[in-house]
Amino acid sequence: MYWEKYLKVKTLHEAMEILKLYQGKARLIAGGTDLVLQLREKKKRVSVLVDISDLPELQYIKEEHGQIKIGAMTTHSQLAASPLLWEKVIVLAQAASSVGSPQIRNVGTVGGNIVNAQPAADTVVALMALDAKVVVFNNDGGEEKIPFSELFLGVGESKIDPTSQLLKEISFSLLPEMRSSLGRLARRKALALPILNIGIVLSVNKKENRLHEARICVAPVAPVPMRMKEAEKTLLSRKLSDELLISASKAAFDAADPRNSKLRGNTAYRKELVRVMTYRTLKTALATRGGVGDEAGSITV
Amino acid sequence: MKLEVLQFELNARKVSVRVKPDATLLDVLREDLDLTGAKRGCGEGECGACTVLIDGMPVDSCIYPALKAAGKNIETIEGLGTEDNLHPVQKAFLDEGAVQCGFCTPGMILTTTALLAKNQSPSEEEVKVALSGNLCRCTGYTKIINAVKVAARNINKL
Amino acid sequence: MKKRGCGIGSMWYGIGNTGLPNPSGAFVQVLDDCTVIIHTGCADIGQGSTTVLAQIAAEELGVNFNDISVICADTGVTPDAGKTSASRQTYISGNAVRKAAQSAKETIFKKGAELLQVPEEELILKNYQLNSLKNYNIQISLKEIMAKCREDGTLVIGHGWFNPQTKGLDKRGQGIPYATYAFATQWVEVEVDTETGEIDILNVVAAHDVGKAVNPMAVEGQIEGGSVMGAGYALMEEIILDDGKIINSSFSNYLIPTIKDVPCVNSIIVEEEEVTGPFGAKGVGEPALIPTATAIANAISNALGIRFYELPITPEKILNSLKTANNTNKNQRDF
Ligand code: FES
Ligand code: FES
Repeated sequence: MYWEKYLKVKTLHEAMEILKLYQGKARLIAGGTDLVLQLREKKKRVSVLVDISDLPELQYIKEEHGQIKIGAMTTHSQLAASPLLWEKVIVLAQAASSVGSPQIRNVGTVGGNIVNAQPAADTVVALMALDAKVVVFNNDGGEEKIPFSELFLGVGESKIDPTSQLLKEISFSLLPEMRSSLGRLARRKALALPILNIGIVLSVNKKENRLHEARICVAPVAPVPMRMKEAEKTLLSRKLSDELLISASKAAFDAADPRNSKLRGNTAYRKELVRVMTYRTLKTALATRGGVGDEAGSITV
Repeated sequence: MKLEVLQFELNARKVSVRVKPDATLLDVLREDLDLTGAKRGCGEGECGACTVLIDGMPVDSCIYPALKAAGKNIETIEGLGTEDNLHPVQKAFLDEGAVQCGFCTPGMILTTTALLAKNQSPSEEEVKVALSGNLCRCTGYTKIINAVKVAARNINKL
Repeated sequence: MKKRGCGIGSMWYGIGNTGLPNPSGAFVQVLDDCTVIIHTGCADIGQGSTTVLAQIAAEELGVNFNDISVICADTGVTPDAGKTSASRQTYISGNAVRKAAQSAKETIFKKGAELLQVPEEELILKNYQLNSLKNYNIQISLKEIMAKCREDGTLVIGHGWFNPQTKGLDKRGQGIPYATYAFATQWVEVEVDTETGEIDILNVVAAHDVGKAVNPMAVEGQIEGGSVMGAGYALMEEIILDDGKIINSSFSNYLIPTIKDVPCVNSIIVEEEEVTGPFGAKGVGEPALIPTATAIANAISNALGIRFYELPITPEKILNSLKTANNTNKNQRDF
């Protein structure tokens, strides 16, 4: 038997009470598109599943004071269909549209994707680049905020413990004149895990033709999604130019250290892809619009 | 093992069935309710042969816990049309030769129905995106794409 | 940079088992109400043989397709028809069914000739009606004939048997391995991304000589499906072993093309009738996927100027080969 009890709760409070009651033997389940398989393969074990996916208070996408706030049980389909995200945060809309298949996106949630902590999870790569934070409820009634940069501990391991904690909300700030894009490569055009995912978020200063801020997240090139700090620094160092993008891509190439994989390809190939895709994704990102206060006017590269 | 009562709406009828707590929706449909239209291709969410509609949306029932479906509205291929009175999507698949072994067909047809409910005249690209979670090993997809277009036209004429 | 190229692949393929007997048998029975039952061991695994065999019997007996039932692949009641393999069922079981229908027809003709008082050779059976070719007013309905047969206890049932004429190969590999061959040529256009190695198939045109397309829509379906399977073979399908164990035995890691990976296939049916085939038909099952990988490999080499000798041609292999080619070019320049 993969689990003994399956409970659908009506309120957040009820969910937390059940977790408390079972003391580590119960865990939360969202869409279950990954978890059901992991339980079946005995990669994880649990006796009670507490289903929170239908709680309306965990399903929303909204903009508040320059921040985007997303309820953890928002499905990938809902993210992918959000006009707000397509207008202001393209990278996240693209990431949500890239997950699995339509069938998976209709059920899988962004919260589930985060807690499950797979090294190349599409939305996670985007949210890392967005410098997002999560709000987590503890079963002692407390609440804590964890930045994405501290969230992941290893393959399949996040700081959130679904037997005692509930991921409630994901939030991030919109940047002035934000440009973003996701670069993704996979072995086929749908229903395939990425060989490489690159999330890029930039804030541009059109007057000076340079970047205020640059964030690049690449996965899977390490057990957890990785920010390319050197490449980011390079991007901020001078005015925008094609050479600048090339040197930033080179910096990302140097930092990436993917392992040889019979399924994803060998190290040299995957490093080379980091270089090519960083450059390309920077280019596409610069050609987008988004964030707050983005007026017409172009950037010359 | 204790069985749990699962209640939902299935093909426009209220259904109550006793299920194992760790059964998937596909198990319940095929084994307990004898609805074998949804197929088990991979059992792991990778092929779409087990697609059913939950509240109008295509879902892989092989990885969907049965008890998650409590209170929801489920449609399977059995609820779509009858042999004498085919649903326009079923008819288009037959007319266009979009069926060979038929293993992917229930999933393809349900996914198409959901697409056409949202988008009455999808472009070829939109058809491809919508059906990208349904694998077919036989047809090469060409006739499936035609069938979706024909179904869209016929539904619009109704 | 993206580079485009075109390639052609051509093939011939022997229908049936190589130089071995591979017979098929069938029974055809016409019932009192003029409906027909076919018994055949032929297994329809989605290729459409049941439909095709019913069409062949309908054509031979001059009755409607809808009046034919096919009982197939039931070892309890159907005669052996051999495997559904080697693209052989239309050709071999098609012939068996046609012969069985012909033999049932003989009984009908005999009875008809008797009733109409004309020689059998003069008769033709069409639209549930037996007519004299010499005088169209001399006619009798199939229904009446069947009623008469019932009266005198004659069963209108025929059996058919077909074994393609082959001769086993001798020590020198000489013989007649197949009774007939299918021929095909496919043309493919690809676009290759020289920086990521990704390959996009833009166009596929597939021309197949099937002798006679008994069911053109089903033949197209076979061609389209086969070509896409061939595209998977060329670009992504591969069993990966680690220490002798298959590490990609599920749909999540043994990848086959999705609807987004392939364009619509343009199929062209060529009908060069095969004299030994039922109404001229041969087979198309496997031929449809044979030339695709060749055409794709040729298209890639046309785009890049590099030959690939190993399938699947993955993006990684493309990048590695491009790198090697660049280095060789540089070295040549240095000298
Ligand atoms: S059987 Fe459910 S996706 Fe394959
Ligand atoms: S018709 Fe056989 S898998 Fe689609």
